[in-house]
Amino acid sequence: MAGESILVVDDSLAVLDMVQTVLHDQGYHVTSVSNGTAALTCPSLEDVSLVVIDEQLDGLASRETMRILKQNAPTHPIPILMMVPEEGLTQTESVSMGGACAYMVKPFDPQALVRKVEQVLDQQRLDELSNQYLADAADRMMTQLADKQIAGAVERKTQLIIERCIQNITTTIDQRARAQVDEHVTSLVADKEQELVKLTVREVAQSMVEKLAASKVEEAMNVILAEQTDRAVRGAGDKILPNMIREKVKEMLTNMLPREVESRLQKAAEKMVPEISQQIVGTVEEVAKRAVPRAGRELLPAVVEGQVATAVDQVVPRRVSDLVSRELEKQLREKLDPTVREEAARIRRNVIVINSVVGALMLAGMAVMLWLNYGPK
Amino acid sequence: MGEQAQMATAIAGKQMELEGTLGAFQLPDVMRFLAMGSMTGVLTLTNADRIMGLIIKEGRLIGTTSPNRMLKLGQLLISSAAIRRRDLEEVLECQRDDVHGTAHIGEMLIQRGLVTAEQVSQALELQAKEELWEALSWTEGTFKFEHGLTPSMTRSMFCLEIGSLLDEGAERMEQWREIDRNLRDTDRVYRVRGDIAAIPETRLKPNTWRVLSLLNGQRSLKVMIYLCGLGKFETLCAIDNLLSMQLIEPVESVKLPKTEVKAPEPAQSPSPAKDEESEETPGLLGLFSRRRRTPSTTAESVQLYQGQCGPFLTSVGFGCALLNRLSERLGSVTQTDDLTAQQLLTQELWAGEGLRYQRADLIEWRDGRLDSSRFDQYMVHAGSNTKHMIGCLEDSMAALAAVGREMVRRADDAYGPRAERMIQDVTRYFCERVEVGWPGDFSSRGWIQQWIKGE
Repeated sequence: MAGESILVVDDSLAVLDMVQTVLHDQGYHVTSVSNGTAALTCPSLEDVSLVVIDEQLDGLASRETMRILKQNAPTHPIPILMMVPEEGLTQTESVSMGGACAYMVKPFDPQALVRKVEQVLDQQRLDELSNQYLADAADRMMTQLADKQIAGAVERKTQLIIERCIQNITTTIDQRARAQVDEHVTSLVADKEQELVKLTVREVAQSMVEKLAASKVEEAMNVILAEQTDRAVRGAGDKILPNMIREKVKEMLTNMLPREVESRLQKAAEKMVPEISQQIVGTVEEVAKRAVPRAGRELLPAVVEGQVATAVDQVVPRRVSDLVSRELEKQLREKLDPTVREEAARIRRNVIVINSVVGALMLAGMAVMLWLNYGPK
Repeated sequence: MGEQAQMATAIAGKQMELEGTLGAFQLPDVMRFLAMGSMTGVLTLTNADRIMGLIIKEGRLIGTTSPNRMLKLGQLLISSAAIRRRDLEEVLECQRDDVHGTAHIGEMLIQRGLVTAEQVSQALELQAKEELWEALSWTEGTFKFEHGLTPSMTRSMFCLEIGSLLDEGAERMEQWREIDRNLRDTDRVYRVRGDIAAIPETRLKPNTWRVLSLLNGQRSLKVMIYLCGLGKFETLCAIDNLLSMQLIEPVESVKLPKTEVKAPEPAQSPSPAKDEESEETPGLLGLFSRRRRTPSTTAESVQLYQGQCGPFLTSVGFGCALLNRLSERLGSVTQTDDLTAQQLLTQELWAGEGLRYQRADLIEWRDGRLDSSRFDQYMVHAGSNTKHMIGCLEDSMAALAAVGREMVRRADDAYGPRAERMIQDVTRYFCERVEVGWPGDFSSRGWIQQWIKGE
């Protein structure tokens, strides 16, 4: 196969020209240099398919050049054909190749040179082919081995990953669960707190309602008490007082003397008032007990009692006394007015008389006493 | 500047010549002056060693002339692998046959379809620049401007603006002074260093690598300039660069001890020798029999021609034998003369003149003689398939011719008419008696006449 690039190294330009002419006629591209350094620094060295080198070079020795070519990775695969001078050959000594894959004796037959070059290039192609096969086989084996290793490694790694994943998942779940529990607890606590707050609010509200109710009850009680008391007093007044008064008046009027009538009437009136008051109170209590709402009694019996007692103590006597006095006054005015007025006028007249008499007596008595004490001794 | 232009126009109008010394006028000033006046003519520059002419047309450089220029057009085209030496020789032959003497090498090559006009113009441009760079470095000499051009001079294949050329030249001169200090001796040989640590990590510049690729520890700077085809400046720049990178080193010149060179035998009239096969045969045939012992198959083939009168395996063997014999013959005039065989044909002469021809290096210098045995061995191995050796043959014969010419020149200088007679004796013998195996159409007479007379 022609077309390959061949680098020829020889210190003789004539030899270079001959080799170039022979190989160029076969279709090879030939680059010629006269020393090893130029060969190693050739710009197109990496494209060279074959190096043909003279064994005897000036400067950098050919074997050193070949060694460097073989040591460098890019130029290592390039086959080397060494040209050995005929006079340098002996029958007993074998040719030291020194990195070359073939040698050629100089001077050379041009056809022999062409054959040798083709042979070396064929060998190189075969080597490349076998290297390619070997490389492919090695690749396959390496691939298999690598697959196996990778599979094992993947399995181990997967196991590790799974374990880590599980661990991560567990951790995550744990964290999430904790978070959720915390969240729930927080929410529950919040609910509870809310509930408690509500409860408390409710209780507070209830207590406030109760207090409000109590105050309302109190107000109602006050109103009811006032009404009931008013009513009771009025009823009592209506029921009891006229009769009693009438009876007493009648009794007084009937049984007493006009003077005694006055004192008795006065005494009777003084006595009647507390009793009537107590009766009124009793009546009011009963009426109140019936009238006051059960809730009020249940919730605040003591208060009610206290309030009632206080009210009764503070208000009732005053009011009763007022009412009684007003009622008495009214009843007396209405019922007893004519009689009493009459009797009173009569009593007043009698009293005036009596008082005048008593006064006179007293004056007389006083005069007596004064006379006795301060009179003539 | 305006006055200069007016003066230049006046000179052109009156067809006056302009001349002076380069010490008084700088060459760039003279050239700018001519460019400003858009003058047409030839500026001839002369110093102690050289003479050159710059052909200027309407203020532009269109060519150069130089009888002994270093880089000839043919050599440049061969170095750049544009043409083969055989093509050049054929064209040169035609040029010699041209009675009018107006044929231009470049044009003839283009006409024959061997090169393109662009290749020729590039080579001529390089040649002209090299000439100019050299002239710019002269500190002494004279200049003379002559108006008008001959019709052959007006045929130009390139045209360079003098202004930009001088700018480039000024830039290069700075670099050139440094290089010239380091590489003044162009006979010096440089070799690649053998230590591995010197191999550069970075990629070399193309020109630097091109020069490096041609170094083999035997080629002098002068030869490298010929072989690279880059011109003197670029070649020496690359060498300087390689030196600074410590990739190469100068080779210490080794003087050959006198004892190595055998004293030549007294000249004898050549005659068909009876003991032709004897290595000890004195005289001319004995010279041919003193071939290096060659092993195995080559030895048998070469043996056929050893010691025989006449048949040579190749024309290269013939040429080497002729030069060796001529050297001995001329050197044997008198042992007391200063000029001896060793001075006529020396290793330095071969290295300086012969190795300028790229593919002539199968001829080796051994034991004070030129030895073609390596070339012959390759020829034997090539058998009938000699196509790949033609280039080597052409260069080898051209190298031998060049060395022969130089030998004759030296002998002429030393002996005058005596040398000429001796040369004629030797060449006549070789022309009549010698047979050459390859190439079959080789004419020893024609070749001898060519190298003695030809350029």
